Amino acid sequence: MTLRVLVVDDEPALCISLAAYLEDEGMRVHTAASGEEALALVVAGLRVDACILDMRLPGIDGNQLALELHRRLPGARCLIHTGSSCYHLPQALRRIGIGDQHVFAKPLPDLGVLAAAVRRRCDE
Amino acid sequence: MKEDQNKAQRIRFWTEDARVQAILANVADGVIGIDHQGVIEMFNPAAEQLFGYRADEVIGRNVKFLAAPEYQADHDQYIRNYLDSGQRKVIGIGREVRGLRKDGSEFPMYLSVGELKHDGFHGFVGITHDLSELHQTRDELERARRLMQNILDSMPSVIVGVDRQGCITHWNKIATEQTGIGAEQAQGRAFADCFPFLHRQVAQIERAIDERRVVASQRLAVPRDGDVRYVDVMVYPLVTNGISGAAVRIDDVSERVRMEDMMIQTEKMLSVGGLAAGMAHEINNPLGIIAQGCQNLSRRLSDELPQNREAAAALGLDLAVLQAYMEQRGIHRFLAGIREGVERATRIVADMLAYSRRSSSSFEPSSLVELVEATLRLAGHDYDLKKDYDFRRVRIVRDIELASDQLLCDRVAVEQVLLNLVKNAAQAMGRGASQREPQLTLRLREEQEYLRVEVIDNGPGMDAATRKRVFEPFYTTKPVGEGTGLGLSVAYFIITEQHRGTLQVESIPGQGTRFILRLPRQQLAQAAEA
Repeated sequence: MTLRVLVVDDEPALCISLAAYLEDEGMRVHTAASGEEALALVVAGLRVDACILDMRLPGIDGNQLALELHRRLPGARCLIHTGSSCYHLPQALRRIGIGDQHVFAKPLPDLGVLAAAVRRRCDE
Repeated sequence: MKEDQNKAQRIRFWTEDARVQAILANVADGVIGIDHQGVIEMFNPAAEQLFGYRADEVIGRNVKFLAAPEYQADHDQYIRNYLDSGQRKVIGIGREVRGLRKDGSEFPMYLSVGELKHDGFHGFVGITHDLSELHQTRDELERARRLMQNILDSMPSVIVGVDRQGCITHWNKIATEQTGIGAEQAQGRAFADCFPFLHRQVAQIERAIDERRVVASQRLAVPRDGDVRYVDVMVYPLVTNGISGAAVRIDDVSERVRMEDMMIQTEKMLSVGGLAAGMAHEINNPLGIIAQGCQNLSRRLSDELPQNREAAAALGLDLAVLQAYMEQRGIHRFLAGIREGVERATRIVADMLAYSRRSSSSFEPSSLVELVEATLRLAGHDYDLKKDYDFRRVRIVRDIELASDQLLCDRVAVEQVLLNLVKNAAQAMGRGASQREPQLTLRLREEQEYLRVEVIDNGPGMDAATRKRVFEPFYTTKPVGEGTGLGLSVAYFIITEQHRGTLQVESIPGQGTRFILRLPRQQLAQAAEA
């Protein structure tokens, strides 16, 4: 089964290269440049198995987006890909099943790590 | 009786001449006439005043009872000596002795004794001059001098008095301690002679005296014991009229200068810390773009990915030829270069973040000895260190004197600091002259509420300029690409800001370097969390 992944990042170049990698890994990838855009896709009927979320986003931030996505797509698993190295996972996110092992700091020297995490996350 | 008659005659000798009488009655000094055995025959009014005896009480008695006890024994001896040998001790000359009054009190006096030989008469005349007042003045002067010296010696500064010519007139204890020159030796010597490193100050002394104003010179660097110390020199001209000179105060302000340097250092760190937190995110994103782009580039150029093979086949591209081309043109090397560059930049950002990320939340009771041992184990396995230096070649000396090595600290952070110091030391010894056996000493001591760790190497050491900048962010002596220049500044930050301790460095070029780390055993109230 092809995994469906939503990548949300306001850096287009990051979005594109992450999507490219995951596609090469055989996943089906959608991208959004903001939380609002991501939610609009979901409202429009997009269904995914996993979401990779940047934290610092224009409009609603990654934490809020994760909660919102969880509410609307309970089956979708969230992973966090953030540029801030002092990111602390809020309790609200822990409660919906996101753990420290799902948090990845940019820059990742090997995206294979993230791809593997997506697969594991979807097997949970 | 002949003897009595003789005696009466002798007395007359002293009294019959009215002019002599007038003189004896009116001179200010006590005049006493005696015979050759010391028996008093004449005692003038001034002598009565001085000793408190009336003349009739003393005439006929041996004069020695007028001398203080310590002189009485010698008294007979003087006259006999003189008569026997002609050797003069008092007679014909004079000396200072102590007299004894009727009331038993003693007083200093100058006694001169003359010999009288006149027309068959032989006797001696003593003139006694009261020195009490002079002595009192002298004692007061001495007391005043001692008090002044005492005041000067009690000052924590070097204080020296100089005259117009720049010669030393006063010299205090600290001056002796700091120059090794005693007060007597310093007296009268040229200022520049006693303080060769301050020879330029001689002109300042002249200026202060001529212009009658205080001249201050601050933070003068002077070498001492192979180190550089800083002094403030103040020249105060003497303000009393008719006296031309100056008091010079020299204060060792090295500690203050160092504290100020440290404070500037800390400020720099904090600004870097604040900057780092904001910068990190901004830098990590573009780094991510480069890293991810580079990885995709590698993957999509390889012949292993099925998607690549499909796309190549559709375009009629031979991937094997592409591989050969890339090999020939060194494309992979460039890609590897990009990856390394990203890794390095990532490391720098992570180090910078160490400033802002640290809090006291991870403080826990720890054993300092265990921390040191863990650090040494880590250093032994450290890859960076192995690359250019074999840590096993270093002789490790553990010099531990601790009653308790327990402290509250961020274990990981302190380990990071210790590892940094140990690695630096090992690398420095690796670079240094190889004739010496490399030795790393870890000295652990207690110092009131602190635990002190000294990391001492016998490497090439560093000069003053390097030592001054060693904690500065981005300052490094290592080849480009090897050090981020942040290791020691992060260490400094961890110790001073996070743990409220101190980190210092001492070094003598050619002899080695010593880093001194002080960590409080207990953290005060965890201010960072409040």
